[in-house]
Amino acid sequence: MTQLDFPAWLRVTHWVNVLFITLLIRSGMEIVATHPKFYWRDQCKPGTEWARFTRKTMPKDKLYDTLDEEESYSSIISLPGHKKLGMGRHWHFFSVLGWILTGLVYFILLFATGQWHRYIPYSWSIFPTAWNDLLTYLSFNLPPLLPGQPLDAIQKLTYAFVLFFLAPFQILTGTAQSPAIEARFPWYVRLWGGRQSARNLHLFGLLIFIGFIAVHLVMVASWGWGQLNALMIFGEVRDRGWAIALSFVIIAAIVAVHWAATVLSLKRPRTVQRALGAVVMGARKLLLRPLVSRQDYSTAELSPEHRVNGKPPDSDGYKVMAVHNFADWRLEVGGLVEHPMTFTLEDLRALCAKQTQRVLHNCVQGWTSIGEWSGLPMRDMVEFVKPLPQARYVCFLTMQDTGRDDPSAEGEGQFYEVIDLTVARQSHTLLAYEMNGEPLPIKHGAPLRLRVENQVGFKMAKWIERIEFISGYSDIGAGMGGWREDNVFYDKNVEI
Amino acid sequence: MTAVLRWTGLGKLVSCYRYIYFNGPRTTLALGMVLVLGVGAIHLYLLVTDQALARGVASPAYLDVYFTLLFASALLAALSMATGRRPGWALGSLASAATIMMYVVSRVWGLPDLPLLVRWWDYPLGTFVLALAAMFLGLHFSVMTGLNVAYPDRRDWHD
Amino acid sequence: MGAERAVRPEITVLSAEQKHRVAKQLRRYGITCTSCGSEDLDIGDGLYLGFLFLREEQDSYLIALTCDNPDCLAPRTGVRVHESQFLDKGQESAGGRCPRRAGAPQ
Repeated sequence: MTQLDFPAWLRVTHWVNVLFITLLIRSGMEIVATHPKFYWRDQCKPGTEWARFTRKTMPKDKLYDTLDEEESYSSIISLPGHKKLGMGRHWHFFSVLGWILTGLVYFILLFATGQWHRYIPYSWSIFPTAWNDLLTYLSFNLPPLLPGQPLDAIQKLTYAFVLFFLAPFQILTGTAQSPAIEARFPWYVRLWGGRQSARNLHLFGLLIFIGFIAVHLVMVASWGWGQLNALMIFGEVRDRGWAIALSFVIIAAIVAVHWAATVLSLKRPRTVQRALGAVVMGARKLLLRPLVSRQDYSTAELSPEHRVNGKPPDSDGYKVMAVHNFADWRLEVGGLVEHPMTFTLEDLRALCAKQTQRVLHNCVQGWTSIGEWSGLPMRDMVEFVKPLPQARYVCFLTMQDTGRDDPSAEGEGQFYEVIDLTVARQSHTLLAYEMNGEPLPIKHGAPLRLRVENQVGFKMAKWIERIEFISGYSDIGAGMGGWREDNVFYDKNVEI
Repeated sequence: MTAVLRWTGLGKLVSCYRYIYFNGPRTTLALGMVLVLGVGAIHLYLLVTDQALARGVASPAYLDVYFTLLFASALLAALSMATGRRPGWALGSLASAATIMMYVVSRVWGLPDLPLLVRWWDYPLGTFVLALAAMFLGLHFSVMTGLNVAYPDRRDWHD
Repeated sequence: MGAERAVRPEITVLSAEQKHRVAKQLRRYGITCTSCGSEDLDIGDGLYLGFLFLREEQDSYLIALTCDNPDCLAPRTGVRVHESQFLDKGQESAGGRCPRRAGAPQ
């Protein structure tokens, strides 16, 4: 029988895990801050939250968007704090990859070396033993370790729960919040009770992890900080003084990483965006890009109040067009195409058969709504204008001037977004001019908006006035592939 | 006072607290009832089984009276809470505070004719009832300070 | 309000009387076509601005104007009016929410 001790791989992965878990928690809190409201239903109807972590109230007499609801949390609890969702997302997804990799190494070695019995019980008798352990702890005493094992019964069951249930649970509920996965596998979202239910479960998982960490630290202190850290650093009980010192050095190093991550993210966000984004985008492209929407929500599931993000163009030109039902609006399609064209709204309606899709909209902030969108499939537009061979991307330019129209958004300038041509050709990519059977409302992007159902909502440019086929986007704005990418440091491709 | 709050970090903790709001009136009420009934049930158990002291040692009469009063208060508190009456929560807090106080006093100074209770902290049921009582007090505090809302009250969130 | 269906959910269809009140305002303030200067302006629908647009006053509407001059290069324009200048007495703006036409989903 394998001796259940503390081999080097177990010790190393333990400390690496501490780093990634704490990065995940802090970056997760940054993601919470951007929409600190939690719902049970995917409609996210304002006022139906079961929890709020904000003191803000919204106006009744003016259109507000979810950027207005964003909170600024302290850098102590969130990474990096101060309303930097782009940075928070980068750290969260980067840390997830690191955490999963660490976990995979751990699991493989756990089973390959026979050490899995340290967590998986030998017999059912562990449960009554664990009950006795609980009573012993409630008596402010320490129960005996299991014979030949480094843990007592209740610790063993707890670790088994964390390793084999809680960790996978967090990964699974996290992936249930990916637009690409939700779009391709709507049944997977329903499995969790819906996207918002998955978000809630992910939050509960976070709280359980925090609780576990707190109890774990109390346990280590109660059983002997020096002794247990010696086991987790040297693999045996020796040089307890050094073990204590080294444990604090390791913790200080982890804190230093957190501090550096925070400061870098606040002072050099572009650097962090490029560095972490390169890693995460690679994983996204490989795993999530091929996923195409198969959603078909029923009309009964449509949100009565589809949430809004971004405010309409506050210009007289736009308002005059709107009051005349956009008769003077023109869509210019050009760039690297054989047939640059200009369309009216009627032209777009007549171009080909209208495509309708009832889908779950995922805002980058975490809220969702279900809407029915109708319009011209983008792939038909692509075929119509015939992009030249060097065209690789499509840029959507809008009538929104962010500095003028959206003071809650950090930054200024014309809102635009860039998608890959391959994404433009996917069947769920739509130029929508109708919503829920009516002309597209002003607050949702009238007269024309983009829908890309395997991407997060900010990619879906609203109030479009021009579409340009391009070979590269480094010369547009700050060269990151979109207004939010330029100013809030999001990734360009956001299947999660 | 502001300086004290700032330098001790308590100010940040207080301001953190003011960012948390839950909207589960029925859940809050149910949890409160479970906690206070738990406290009451344990006292009833101690009364009926005479388990409060060492095996074979009978409780003095005043302790039985105390257990009875505590159980009755907890039950009354739960019923009152269920019918939406605020005094129910106050009574529950009173019962919880009394539980904690009596337990701590008995272990630190002892009770009349019961010196064997002194330093008898390793008593799982005692720890458990302390935890339940403390949780009820915390829950009531959260309702009073607006973090939670208890049925029949409701949140007035429109946005 | 007019009985005909508005083409957009945000549009308010003006009754004949309401259009008449708008016309009075145009004459009172000497408003002409911004492109060709013509005074022959056809009054169309209204768009409630106060809720949707950040910098608009709460009671602000934009009324569609179409120049009748066939040679006008930019015939479609609009005029900003306060609701008290054209709505029927006792008729308020859409209570702080974007106006909806009859039958629109709630």
